Amino acid sequence: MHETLCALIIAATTMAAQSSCPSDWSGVWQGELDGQPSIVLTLAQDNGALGGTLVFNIINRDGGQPRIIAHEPHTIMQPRLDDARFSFQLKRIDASASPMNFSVELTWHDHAKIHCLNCGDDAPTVEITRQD
Amino acid sequence: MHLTLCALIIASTTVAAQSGNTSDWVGVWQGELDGIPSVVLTLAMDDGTLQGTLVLNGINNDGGKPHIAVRETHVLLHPTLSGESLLFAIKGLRSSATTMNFSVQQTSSTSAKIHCLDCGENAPVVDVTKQD
Repeated sequence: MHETLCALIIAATTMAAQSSCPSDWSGVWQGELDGQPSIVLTLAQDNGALGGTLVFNIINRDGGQPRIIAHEPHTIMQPRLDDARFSFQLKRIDASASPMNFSVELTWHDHAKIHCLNCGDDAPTVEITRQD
Repeated sequence: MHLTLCALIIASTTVAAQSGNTSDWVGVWQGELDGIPSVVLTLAMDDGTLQGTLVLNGINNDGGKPHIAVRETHVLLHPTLSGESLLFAIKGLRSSATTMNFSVQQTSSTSAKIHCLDCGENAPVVDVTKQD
């Protein structure tokens, strides 16, 4: 009985952690590098569907203190929500190339990991946190 | 004939003014209050049209140091360029059914003024600056 109850609680907790609705994603999500925001993902659903922007910040460490030297803003395309995973595309600088495919996976409340699926083997997985 | 030519010239000039500087808007535009970002407008055109997000930060001055107490994230609805101005709507605050209409007027290549057109007579005009 005790074991069954524990299994049910674990199953329910796992399901709650994996499922999500669009409102769970709305907000400003930020990943940092050297204490500077390197990725800013802004999501909202004004038109009913989840949409938004993603900004890559270029950080320069020359001269000591890291600082943002350039911003590369994108509007997200083909957004798709699939349980705890949010997928979308971004246009590459070379517009003739195929778009970048991104996946954002909720790991816990207000925490997620973002990864570019077709940016090469070295493409990092970046932890992002929703800002209060 | 002369009138027709004039009309065509005026029409083509207007179209050029509205479409020729779209890329000038791409970037991260930020307005500050007490040294803290109060408005962040992110614009890009990955799908060929100007789209973006607006973040309204509620700043609290209580207890000494000003800090962001609440964030409202929005996706721009119906963004339209009209001369030197960008017009768009966002869904009302706290997901109300109404929409708020905004005008952003460029005053230079890196500065603009943003104003809510239907938020009452006391709605402030906020200076925003394009981030490097």
